[in-house]
Amino acid sequence: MDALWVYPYRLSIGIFLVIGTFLIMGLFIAFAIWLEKDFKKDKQAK
Amino acid sequence: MLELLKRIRNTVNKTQVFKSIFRHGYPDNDANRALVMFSNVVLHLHPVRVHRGALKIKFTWCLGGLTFFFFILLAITGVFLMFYYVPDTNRAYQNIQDLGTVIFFGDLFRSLHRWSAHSMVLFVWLHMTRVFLTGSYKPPREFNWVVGVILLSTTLVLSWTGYLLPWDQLALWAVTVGSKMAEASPLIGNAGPFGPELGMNPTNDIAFVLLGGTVVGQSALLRFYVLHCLALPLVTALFIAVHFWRIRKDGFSGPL
Amino acid sequence: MSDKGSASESKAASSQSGGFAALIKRTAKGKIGPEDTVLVWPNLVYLELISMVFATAILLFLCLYSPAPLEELASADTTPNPTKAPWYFLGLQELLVFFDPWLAGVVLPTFIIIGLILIPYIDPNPLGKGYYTFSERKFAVTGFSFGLALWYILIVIGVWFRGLDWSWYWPWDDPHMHQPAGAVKLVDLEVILQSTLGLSERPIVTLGRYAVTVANILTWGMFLGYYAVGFTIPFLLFRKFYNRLGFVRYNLTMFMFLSMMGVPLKIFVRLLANIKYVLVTPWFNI
Repeated sequence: MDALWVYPYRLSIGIFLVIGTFLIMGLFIAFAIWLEKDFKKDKQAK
Repeated sequence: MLELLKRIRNTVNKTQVFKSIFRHGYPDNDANRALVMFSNVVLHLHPVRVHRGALKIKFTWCLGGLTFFFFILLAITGVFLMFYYVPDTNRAYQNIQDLGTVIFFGDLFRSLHRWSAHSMVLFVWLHMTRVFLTGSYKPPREFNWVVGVILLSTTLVLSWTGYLLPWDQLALWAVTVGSKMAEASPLIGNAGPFGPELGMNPTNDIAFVLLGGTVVGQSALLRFYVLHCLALPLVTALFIAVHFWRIRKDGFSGPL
Repeated sequence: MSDKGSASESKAASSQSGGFAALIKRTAKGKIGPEDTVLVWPNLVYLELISMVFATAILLFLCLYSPAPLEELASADTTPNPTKAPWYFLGLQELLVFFDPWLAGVVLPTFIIIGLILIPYIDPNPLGKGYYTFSERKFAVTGFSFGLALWYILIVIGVWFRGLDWSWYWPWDDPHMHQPAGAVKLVDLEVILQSTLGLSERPIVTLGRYAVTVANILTWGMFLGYYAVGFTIPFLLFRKFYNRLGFVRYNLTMFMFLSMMGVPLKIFVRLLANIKYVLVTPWFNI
């Protein structure tokens, strides 16, 4: 457990990695959700 | 003016030469629009009619088509660059410098080649993402996804082999990083797991095959040149043909 | 002239067919009438032409904005610092920080390619074919997006966050100054187990070059245990998932999935717990 806090620098890199991964992942999922909705709207509009 | 153009077109369309090449009139009526797809080898990649959904930009984002376009662009600019390039470690660097200083449009063509290559790699990835998100790999299109993955690999290897050709520091060391990885291949690399046990050493392992030597030198440059300009483009073109063929056979997936 | 014709044609087609909803229904039933399709010339051909012209314009702009670079003549005597692979391989190069070259450069890329090829064969979900959807295939989309995100973030790190000596550089760090050498001492997992549990360093068996200690067997147990537990939990808790996939698909899916998750896991073990290798043998280390 000590190692975790002794090296805040490494921790910050780890946090950056997690946040970055989930941001990009969220981007793709958001893209899929947006287009799913968009095409449904397209359906109703016509 | 428009009237004049129309008259010229009508006259040209009736000449024997035009008919011998195109077989039918300008595609401004449905019959000719269908015929043009049958009689033109490039357009023949398309069907005559396409589902309305296939035209939705929000569906395809033109990613696959543009990837193919970048490939064509790379072939054209690549041929131009080949005129001015000799894969010799003593001359290659100078050749590339000449492109930027002596040869008309040399720099433009090299930049275009480079940007098309970057774009092609990126667009292959994006196209794959799009195909995944629309589930277009599902039966009966599984095999075309596999062909797509093969194309993804050849695209990456193509880009990577091209990286060495300018013979500058960037080229040499980027490829050195790659060849170090090849040396570390399990079983077939001299520095990889079980490699030495199977008798691998720096002069007979996979990195040696790739570089034609133990370091990135003249043989490596020649190998990468041949792979980059001949072997891999042929393989890629072959799989692109299969890729397109399968789209026509399996049909467009959506939305349809 | 031809454009006008096509516009009115497709307009007529859409008013005839009752719009997208009806179109999707008919397509699902396999009943696509001629009114659902349009002629490729001019509708698609022009779209392609426009997109190609557009792409060319952007490429030409990029060429003017940033022409192809040419560095110094290649020389085996001076090694640039850092030596970076092309950007599309920087994800793999970044993995070299956390894994040995045989894993980062060969095995993991091979797994990625095999995993990608397997996707259509291990995804039995008939829904979501030919349209964007997240709600109908949450696991597939999330899993794939996660893998992609991992690939892209590693590239981002390799391109913008790695500098001299392949050290980490935040945007506010001076890229011309060497980062202080890390005071971190990386230790193998089996050494940690040995010292914390007070295990003997004497090998139990010696297989050629391989001196097997108790701690070493424990690390094997933990490594294989990761996969074993990973294979078992979904089998026990999500039996429906298993049943839908069947034995072969389930095992392939789980192996690929667990291997993918293992990559960030090992990164964190190394980054935060300062463990160099979780598994050590004379032939390979993981």
